[in-house]
Formats: sequence, structure tokens, C-alpha cells
Amino acid sequence: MSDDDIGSRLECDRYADDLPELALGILTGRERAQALAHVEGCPSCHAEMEQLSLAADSLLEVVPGVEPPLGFEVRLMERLGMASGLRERVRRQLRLRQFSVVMACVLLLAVGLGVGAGWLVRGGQNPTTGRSAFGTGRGGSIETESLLHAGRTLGNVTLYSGRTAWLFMTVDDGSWSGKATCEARLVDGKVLQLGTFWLDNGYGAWGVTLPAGTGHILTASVVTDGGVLASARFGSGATASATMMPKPQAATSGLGWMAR
Amino acid sequence: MRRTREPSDGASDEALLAGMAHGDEKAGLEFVRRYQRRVFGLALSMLGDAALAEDVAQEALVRAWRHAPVYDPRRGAVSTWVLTIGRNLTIDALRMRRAVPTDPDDLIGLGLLSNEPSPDAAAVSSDAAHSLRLALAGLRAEQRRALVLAYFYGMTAAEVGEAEQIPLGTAKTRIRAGLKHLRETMTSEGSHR
Repeated sequence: MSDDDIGSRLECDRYADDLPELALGILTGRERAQALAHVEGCPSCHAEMEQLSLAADSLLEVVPGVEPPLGFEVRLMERLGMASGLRERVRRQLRLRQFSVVMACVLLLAVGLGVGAGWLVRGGQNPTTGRSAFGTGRGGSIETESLLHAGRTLGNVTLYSGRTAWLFMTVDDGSWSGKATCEARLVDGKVLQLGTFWLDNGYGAWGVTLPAGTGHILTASVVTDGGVLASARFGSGATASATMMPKPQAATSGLGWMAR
Repeated sequence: MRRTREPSDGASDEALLAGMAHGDEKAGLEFVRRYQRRVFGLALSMLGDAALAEDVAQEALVRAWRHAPVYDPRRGAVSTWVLTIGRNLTIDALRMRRAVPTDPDDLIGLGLLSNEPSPDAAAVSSDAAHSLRLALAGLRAEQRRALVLAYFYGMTAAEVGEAEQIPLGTAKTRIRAGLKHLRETMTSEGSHR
């Protein structure tokens, strides 16, 4: 071993204890400057330092994520002074999410009240299953399926099968604007156009009270001029056994109501 | 009109950063959506104050956005880069506002040693994250505290010594031993794969 090698080894030993603190970024002042100068000129200490830095930074990867408060994205867009179009799009998505949550709560409440009412009408007998009475004691159920395009989820469709059957969809495509048609394919192969609604930069929510005796819906699709945008498939061929006539809505053509 | 796909669909972190560097706002939005939970979660874990954590997380993402052109992939993964920005800003917030940090034991107990899988840690396989948690669990409690105080709160060895009421030399030894243990575990895991 030459004198240079021995000198270099001694130098490495001198800084070995500083490397962890250097990797953690907590070495300060003169100590830091001297350690950095050595590491830059010493391949083995440089490699050691990189390994220690990797180990330190790996700690970041195990900190659990937490959903930020509502409106985080919008506030960030404003802070960045982003184009108003994109900012408005984010706002719309936020409103759409809020609307979907509210609708889901309303629907759950309605179903809960219906089940409760059915239970009272039947003189307090236990409902047989979660799919039991809705108002008249006929079976009713809610099924929600994703709207898929090439394996990518673009929204979802909720179908209530009961005395007054309805369908509600939210679309979050993010790119397409224009008129869209909601098309239902029944298990017997028949295709029904349930109504039309508008997608604005890919976003929209729409619902419809289903015509009486609609039958078993196999798929519900969003169709645009360019073809099928996305489809949701109901595994069991959900029954939409409505006995009431649909309610006409002014906001869209067809039978639906819409969230803007 | 035929629908078009988002340009950022399934894009890598590096591709999104490249898009941001060229002013692509959609890429930036996708990037924000990919990282906001992790950056906010990190700040919240360290600060324990949701409002302050939101401020810090927003600033971290703004900086990542603006500094996207200078990201250098040779210096580490995008996730490490973004989270390091978040960590540094949180440390600044703790110092500048004299905010009271989360007790290191809480941070350790709630996050670092949790057996719950972290759904965001896509950059690290679940095996690697699990190994890391095991390595942390394998440290002596005082080494783990010293490491957390140093890395997450940016405390120097002297400050760790003061906080833990131990001599400077002991603080240095704990920090050193803790980090070296982690490094050895990672090296050993790497050689077994």
C-alpha cells in the first residue's frame, strides 16, 4: 500500500462518521463543506453517500397518503394562475362529484324510506332481503356499474329496479363536448334510446325515469356522433320493472334530468 | 366528432414532468392528481395541522410545476423529488412559524410502522415498503426517534441531542446507527432479488 493510499484511507476514516448526517442533510457549516469536498473527490465515499441518501429518502415512500381537503385542486389552479378553461373544468368536476355524492345520499335515503314504508305496509313483518319492498312490497334493488371504454373508467351508471325504475349516470371523460345519447340494450337484444344530454368538456350527469315495462337492461351506453363513448354492463340483466310513466324534463330531450 | 384521449393517460411521471415543462396544463393537472395525496399526507403527518399542511402541499406542488424543466432523472425518482420538496417546505414551515411538530412517536406509530399498505406508494413495490417498515421496526426505539427527528424535522445532531436530552455524541451515534441499519436492510433486500 502506497503512502497516497494510506493517506486517502485515513481521510475516508475521518469523514466516515459524517456521511450519514450529510445524507440526511443535517450537517452544517464547516463540517458540511469539508465532508462535501472529500466526497466529491472520493469515489468510494461518494458511493457510500449515495446508498445512505437512498436509504434516507426511502422513508418518504412509507408515509401514508391523505386525501386533501375539498377544493384543493381548484385553489392550486388559482395559485398557478392557470387558464380559466382548465380551472373551470376542475371546478365542474368538483361540482359533479359533490352532486353525485348528494344524489347517492338522496337515493339511499329514498330506498331506505321505501323499504321502511314497505315494512310498515306489510304490518311490520321482517323484510326478507336488502332487495325487498319499495313502496308496494315489490322487489327493488340498486346496482351501480362503471362506464368503461377500453378498460378505462369514464363514469358510472346506477340503475334502480323497482316500482318506479330509474337510471342515473355520471360521465367524466375529460375531453369530448357535445350531445350524447343514453342507449340501453336489453337482454332480448332490443335497443332503447332513453334520452339525450350534453357533455361539456367530457363532463355531465344525467338521469331518467324508465318507461313502464322496460324489461331487463343488459348494458347502458353513452353514444356520441363518433360512436359508443363508454358502456356499463349489468351482470344479472337488471330488471327495470317500472309501472309508472316517465316524467318529462325540460332540460334535455327525452325523459331525463341533468346536472350542470 | 370522435372522442380523443387525454394526452396524459397512463403517462409516466417523467413524461408528465416533460409536458409540464412545455406548458401542458393537462399534464400538470394529472401530475397534481397523482401526487396531491402523498404530498398532503406527508405534510399533515409532520405538522398535524390540516390548514398549514394544505398551504405547504400547495406550495410544494406549485414548485414542482414551476421547476419541472430542471428535474434531473439521474438524481432520483420523481416521487422522491416531489416528496423531498414537500419535506423541505414542511421543515421550513416548522421553523418559520415555530409550529409544533407532530410527536415523532405519533409519526412513527401512525405512518411509518403501519402495516396498512400505502396505496400511493406506487414507486415502491409493496414488498419493498414492507421490508422498509420491518427495518424500521427492527431499530431500537431511540434510534428510530433520532432518525425521524433528523430526517423529517431536519434537526441537526445537536438539536436531536437537546430534544432527547442526551449528549451530542450519543445523538450522532443513534442517527448513524439508524440510517446504516436501513441502508444495510435495503442492500440485503436488493441482493436477494
